[in-house]
Amino acid sequence: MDIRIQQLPFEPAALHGLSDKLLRSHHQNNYGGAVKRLNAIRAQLAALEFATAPGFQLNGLKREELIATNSMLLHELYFGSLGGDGQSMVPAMTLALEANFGSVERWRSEFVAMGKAQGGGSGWVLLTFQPREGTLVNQWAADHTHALAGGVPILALDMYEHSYHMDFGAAAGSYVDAFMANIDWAQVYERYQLAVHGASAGRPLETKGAAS
Amino acid sequence: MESRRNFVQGAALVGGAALLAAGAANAQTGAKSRYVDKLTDDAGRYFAAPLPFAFDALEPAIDAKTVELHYTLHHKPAVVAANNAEAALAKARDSGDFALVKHYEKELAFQLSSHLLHSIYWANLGGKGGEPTGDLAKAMSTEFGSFAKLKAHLAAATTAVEASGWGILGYHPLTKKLMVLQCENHQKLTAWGVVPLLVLDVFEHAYYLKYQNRRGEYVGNLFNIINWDSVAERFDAARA
Repeated sequence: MDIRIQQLPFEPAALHGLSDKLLRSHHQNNYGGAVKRLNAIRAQLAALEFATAPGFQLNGLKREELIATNSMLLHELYFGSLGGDGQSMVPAMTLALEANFGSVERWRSEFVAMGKAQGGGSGWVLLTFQPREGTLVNQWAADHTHALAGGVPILALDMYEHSYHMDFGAAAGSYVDAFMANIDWAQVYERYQLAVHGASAGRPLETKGAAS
Repeated sequence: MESRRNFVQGAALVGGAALLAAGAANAQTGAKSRYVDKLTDDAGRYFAAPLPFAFDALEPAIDAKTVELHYTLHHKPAVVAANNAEAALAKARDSGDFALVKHYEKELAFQLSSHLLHSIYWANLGGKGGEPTGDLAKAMSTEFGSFAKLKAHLAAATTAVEASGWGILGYHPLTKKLMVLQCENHQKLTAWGVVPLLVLDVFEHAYYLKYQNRRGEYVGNLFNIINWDSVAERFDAARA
């Protein structure tokens, strides 16, 4: 069954420093476009005879499937990260950032600098839970295709130019500042908790060792 | 031949991508194109030549604001960054500290290729579109079947570039072939030795203000403002 496009989880006109027009274009064209592409790619894969299909065709479809899937997932995380005041977070979230980065400010300065360093191109900055060590890391991702193996992203900053050019032109730094002022930390914390609980089922090698 | 010497001076060989800048002043044809690819100043430092037209000269295909932002805040900073990368590499050679050599080699390839492609892009635009004539038109028919087929191929390849990049019509002197390439970012997916003749920028900063995600519409409209004399000049220089 086709994947459905999720609605924006906030009223776009209510965000600080990001225009209604920009957010609607981003949601409809870029996120919505990714979902439509993914549905089309899956339909083609469903009809493919894998054993006889040329390698380039299968490779191409699987590559496009990965790109469209990550675009969909990261855009949903991006829109799910917005709608807050950028500041208020429960004490446990503050503690988690302090434990992993030294301080909230230290986390923020790295995350923001990574975003600004991607200005003028296409990629993502992600706050990701890394289950092997149970840590939070700021993760670099070019285009839609870099992922930390086993990692669970809990906050996503889109640095594709489509995220800001309509409002900010080439001023990527101003866009990053506006994004930071709209982070919904309650949502981020909820995802953090889910990621930690999900990882408590055990690490692959330890699970294997325990069974033998 | 004077034009050949200028051409070679303007050549840039970049790690990860071999791109040759053609289209230097062609003394023999009386410099039909007003614009000359001048990538470096007299001291050999990378340098952005002035735009060959006013910001609003590409309306309605490309709006004035986009041209202004694109030239001032994308092309020009790439020139600064390319110079910085070379300076950092020189410093590394002097100190023997190559800890950041990977970073600056990538940076040089990216930023210098950006400078080179943007320089050609500006020279390629500001024309009346239509179709090429002369040797270039003949070569297109030989290689692609017809101009219409080349145009359809180039437009489709350009529109389909993944994320940020360029569609490129190039000439490969070693094989004497015209070829269409997709370039990701500024420096990836080239064929070594190719000389870019016509470059179509599909970084989102090139079109987003006016077209948003309608990249295909932007690419289609670019064909209305191509300066085919500029493309032909590069073709002539690459075959000289």
